[in-house]
Amino acid sequence: MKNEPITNWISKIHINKIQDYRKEFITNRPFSHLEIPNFLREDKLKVLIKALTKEKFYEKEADLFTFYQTRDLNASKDAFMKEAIAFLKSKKFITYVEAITGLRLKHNKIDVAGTLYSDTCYLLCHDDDLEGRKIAFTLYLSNLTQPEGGSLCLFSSKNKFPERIIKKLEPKLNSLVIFEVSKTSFHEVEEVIAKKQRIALGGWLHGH
Amino acid sequence: MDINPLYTKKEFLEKINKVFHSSDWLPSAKIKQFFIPSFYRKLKNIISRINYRPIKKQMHYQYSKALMTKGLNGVFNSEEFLDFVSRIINSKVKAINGEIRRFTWEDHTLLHDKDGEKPGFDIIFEFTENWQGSYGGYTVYTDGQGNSSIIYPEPNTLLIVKRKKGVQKFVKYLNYKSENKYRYAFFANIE
Repeated sequence: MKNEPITNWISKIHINKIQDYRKEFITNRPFSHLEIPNFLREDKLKVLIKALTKEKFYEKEADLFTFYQTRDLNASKDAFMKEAIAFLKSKKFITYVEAITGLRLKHNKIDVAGTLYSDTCYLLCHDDDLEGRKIAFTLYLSNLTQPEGGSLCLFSSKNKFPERIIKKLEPKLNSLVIFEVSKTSFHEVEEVIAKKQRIALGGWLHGH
Repeated sequence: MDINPLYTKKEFLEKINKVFHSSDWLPSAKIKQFFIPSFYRKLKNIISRINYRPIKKQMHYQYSKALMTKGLNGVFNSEEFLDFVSRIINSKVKAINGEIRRFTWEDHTLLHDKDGEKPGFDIIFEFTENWQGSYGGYTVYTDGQGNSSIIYPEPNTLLIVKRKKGVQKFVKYLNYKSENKYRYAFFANIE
């Protein structure tokens, strides 16, 4: 596992495009972010979806949200899930994200959980800013189109408060979305307004 | 001004007072069929016709509000109403300043750690008909210590709540199932 090349998990094209991705990440507005389509290799993606469906999802409900989430998958007992988490926190993958973002990240540390938004689930505007979190990531494991909701909406900010949505990212199967966490990385997950499920693997990488 | 005559009787007032003070973390009373039906219908007719203005503050609230008309203000500041509330909370209420709020799809209010509500009494009178919990839009009280209470909107119902230190409320996000449906309520706060 330790000597496994990164291309066992993601296709070579994403390695060759690091410089383009870096430019895109830095210039994307309203805050640094990037969407990489077809991120995982097909064989890994299929097994990952299967492994996640074996995990138990718990309902999370508060003023800000209603959705379903697994426990932290670092504690997963599933053999493949363990491999996938080991990859996401591996030096190879973290170094790859560092190369795109230009940020120094902690190796071998990741918060990661599965999320499921079904009909009427939502997450209102917030910034994700908690001590140590540097990069938020979401790997989509299902498809939704904009009329069905579930898009990740990014807000511009004014005087450190969210102003308006200026970008919407539709959940697309096997797309990886990363963004830099800051006091103004305001975003929300639009309410799902269809009998569909928005399934994703998401979490945070930490900074030094 | 026509409060249900049942509720002006001494024994009922004492009963409601007892219910109100029976909870330690959330002293509260929900009084159904509060006004006599004809008076309630008259009020409902007024509040569903007045003009509402949408208000929104990201990460705080989103709903529509209407300015109180002289007539509505008179209802919630009548001697009879003030006396009723005073007898429940065991404290003389001299005035109730509030507003009519209307909630529909995407509306909500949120909790706040820093600029949350100060302790006091909430007076909420519901004009909402045929509401389903699955729409969201209900009121949730929480003390942040694991206690919480959900109060679903019911027509012609008066809710009186004492919010102790640390207790806050929010109106749960109204999902798309509430499209073209409205929760109407009078909201007031006495500090």
